Amino acid sequence: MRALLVLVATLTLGGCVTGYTLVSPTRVAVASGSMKVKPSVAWNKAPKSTFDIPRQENWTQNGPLLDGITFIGALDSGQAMAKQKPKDDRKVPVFRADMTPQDLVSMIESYYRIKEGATLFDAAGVKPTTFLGKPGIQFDYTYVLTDEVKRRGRSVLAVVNGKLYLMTLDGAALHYFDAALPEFEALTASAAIS
Amino acid sequence: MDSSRRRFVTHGLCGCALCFGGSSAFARVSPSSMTPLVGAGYKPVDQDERGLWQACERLEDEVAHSNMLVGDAVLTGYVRGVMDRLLGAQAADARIYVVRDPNFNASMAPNGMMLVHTGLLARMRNEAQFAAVLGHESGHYLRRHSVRSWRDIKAKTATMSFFALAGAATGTWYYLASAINSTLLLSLFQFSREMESEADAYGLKLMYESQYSTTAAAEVWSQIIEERKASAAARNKKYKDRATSLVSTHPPSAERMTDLTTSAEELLSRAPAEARYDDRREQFLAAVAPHRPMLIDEQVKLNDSGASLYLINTLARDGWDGTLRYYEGETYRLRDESGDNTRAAAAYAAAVQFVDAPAQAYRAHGYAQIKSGNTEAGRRALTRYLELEPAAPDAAMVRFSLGQ
Repeated sequence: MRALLVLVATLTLGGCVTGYTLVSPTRVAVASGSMKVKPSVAWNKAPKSTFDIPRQENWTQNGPLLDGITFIGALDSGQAMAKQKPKDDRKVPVFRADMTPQDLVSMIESYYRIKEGATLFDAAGVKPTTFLGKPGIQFDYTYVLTDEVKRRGRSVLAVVNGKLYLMTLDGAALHYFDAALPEFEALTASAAIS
Repeated sequence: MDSSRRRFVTHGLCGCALCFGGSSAFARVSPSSMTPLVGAGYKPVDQDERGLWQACERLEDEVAHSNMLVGDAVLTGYVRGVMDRLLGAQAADARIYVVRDPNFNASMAPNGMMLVHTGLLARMRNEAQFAAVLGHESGHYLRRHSVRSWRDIKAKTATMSFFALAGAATGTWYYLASAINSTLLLSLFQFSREMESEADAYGLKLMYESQYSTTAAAEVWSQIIEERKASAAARNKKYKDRATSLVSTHPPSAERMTDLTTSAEELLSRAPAEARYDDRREQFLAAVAPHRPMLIDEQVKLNDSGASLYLINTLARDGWDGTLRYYEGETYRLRDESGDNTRAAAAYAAAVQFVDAPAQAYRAHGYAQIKSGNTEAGRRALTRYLELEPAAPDAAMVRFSLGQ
């Protein structure tokens, strides 16, 4: 039994370390090549987690519990922004090309509540923006997951040719979100459809 | 948006959490046979119990400083009032924490820490139903079930203790241990099922002595069973009574319902002719009303449409209002099945007919009308939303929509 536990621990720890790769500060394709962005500093590309969809990519500077950027690109109408089974009790609403701003915002909130386990989630601001050269939405929010850490998030998104393009910054409200925000803003400004 | 967060553990061995889940038959426990094993001001007397209390005190320290607490002294005071009514002077040993969690749950730890989850408050229709759950949890406390469970686990095997300790840190020891030794578990949980029956009986006794309508206890469980059936049906899943599992900690649902009903009748048959028992609905609604939009909101946003619609329709048995109609629409909008756009639009249109309609109902009504081609009606509703909530977080976005 002890040997089994050691094996499990080794595999688990090994998985955590080997899944990360370096993202160099040059123009790079993200989210299965659906978008291109230009980081100004090097980032760590994180391994996919349980609910990540194929057209998703996650970056972090200091580990996903402290900060992270998520890219979702070219999500088709009728698809969800998280991997889920038809009979899941709680499902993130699927993306629809004709969603209103209210629908898009509540889809993102549902993701945090259902897939991340956010019990507290408060919208701080929803305003129009330009993303990928198109009219988009900037959604700012705060939330608390079961680890009790107060976090802030910003999602910038646009629907282009019926497909959803989304970039999200998440960070601990204490220091990490603000520290990563200028780079995130530069990344969203640099983003282009591949 | 990384799904790798650890879980907030509030229960485990520390509290007898309320969950509903039970096959083999148990004899009904008579409420009149229930006597307290702890008195007012009780302190742990032996090493086992002191250790368990210390663990609970550490957990309570975390809870007391949690971001999840509902920081409303009026609501907490109301819950304390219900506990005072149920337990009298002994209620002074209970420390009450109302925590944000949309799931139906409550617990009382052996050191007196009581957790009331918002998902419980959302589902109760009156004070008697609420008191039924608090009474059940008080029953666990008064019968010292936590320490009895802890001793039983320790007596059965050192291996089990190891896994119990490991699980106490993760909240998943039930499942880990189940994979290791299901035979032992069967015996262990048999003990726990007896405790659940005791807690049911004790809860009824407390309700009866506090002049609450004792039929409320069976109503609570009936509502929870029906909600779970509705949740399963909405996903085309077969409803499974988790209480019929061999390793369930709780008595079978049907058996539990029968016992609660029989015990309630037994108590009432002995009641003096002049005794009056009521559900104190007005008092419950007055205390919970300011929080009701939040309570329903956190359930609806889980997009468990069967459970959400069941909850809304159950609350609407006492009358529809703007908030309930709005969240009915929100449930359909998030479910997004064929015809749900129309259902949502109808619910929003009904919501804004009520004087108490929340501002968000006008926003939802506006977008629904625009989506269905009624642009002018939609614009009027969005404008009304901005009149009601000029500083809403999404005001800039709604103004942008109006400008298009």
